[in-house]
Amino acid sequence: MSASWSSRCGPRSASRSWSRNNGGAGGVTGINRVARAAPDGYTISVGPWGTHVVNAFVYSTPYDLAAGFRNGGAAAKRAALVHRAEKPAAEGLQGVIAYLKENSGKVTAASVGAGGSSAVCGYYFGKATAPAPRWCLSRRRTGVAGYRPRQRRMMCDLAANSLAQVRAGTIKAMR
Amino acid sequence: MVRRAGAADADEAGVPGLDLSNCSAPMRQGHAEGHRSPTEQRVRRRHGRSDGAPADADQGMEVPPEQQTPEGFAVYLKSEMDKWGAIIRESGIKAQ
Repeated sequence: MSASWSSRCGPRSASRSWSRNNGGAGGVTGINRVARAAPDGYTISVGPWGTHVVNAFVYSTPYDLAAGFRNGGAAAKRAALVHRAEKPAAEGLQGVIAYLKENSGKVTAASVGAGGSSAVCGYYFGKATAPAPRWCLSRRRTGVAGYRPRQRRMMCDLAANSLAQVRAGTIKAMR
Repeated sequence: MVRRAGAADADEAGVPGLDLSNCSAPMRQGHAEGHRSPTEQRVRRRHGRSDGAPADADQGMEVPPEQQTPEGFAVYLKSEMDKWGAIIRESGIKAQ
C-alpha cells in the first residue's frame, strides 16, 4: 500500500517520495524505524490493522502507537478474506459460516506466522461463527503459498496478500 | 477486487457485528495531534480517484468521514485497541 501511495506522490511532487519495505517481527522493525526518526513529518508509517493494532498485544513493542505517534487520518479501508480449499456447499460468506457451524470443532485454520494478524483474524472469525475451531498454525512465511487442500481447510488473510492466488484459482475467497 | 453484486455481508449471513475490515492511515513520530505534514497531505491527495471520490468507493469499502480526520482516526484507533486487545488476550496468541 505504501509503495502504491509513494508511486502516486513522487512523480507529481516537487520533492520525491519513496517507499522502503522494512520487514521483520511482523512490522515492528519498520515502525520502530519511524519511531526513532526525526519528528519532522517526512518519515511516515503506513500499515494495516496487523502491524498497527495486533502487534501492540502480540509483541513487546519498543514504541506506543496510541501515545507516541500522530496520524494523518484514515486514507484507505481494506477487507480481510477468508479462504477455504474445498468446494463450498453454498457460495459466499453464508456458505463458509454454514460450513463452520456444521463442522464445529473439526475445521482447521492456518495462519501466516504464529502470532500475526492472520492468526488473530482466524481466531475471531472462528469464535464469532462457530464455538470450537481447531487450530493448526502454519510455519512462518508459509502463508497462502503453502495452502494445500485437505491439509488446512481455511485461512484468514488480508486481501492484498491473497489476491494473486484467488485470481489464479488456487484458493477460493469467501467475502 | 470489487464486491460481488448480491454478496451477503456478515449481518445478512447471520453473524451480526462480525467486522474484519481495517483502515490504514499514515502515522509519524510525535506526541500530540496536530496538522498533517506535507507528506501526509500528498498521500491523501494522491489516494483519491480522478473524480474526487475515495479509491474504494465503488467496493463498499469507503473510509467513514469521521475517520478521515486525525482526531477521528485517533478515536477509531483507540476503539480498535480496546476491542482487539481483549480478543488477543483471551486467545493467548503470542509471537513465537
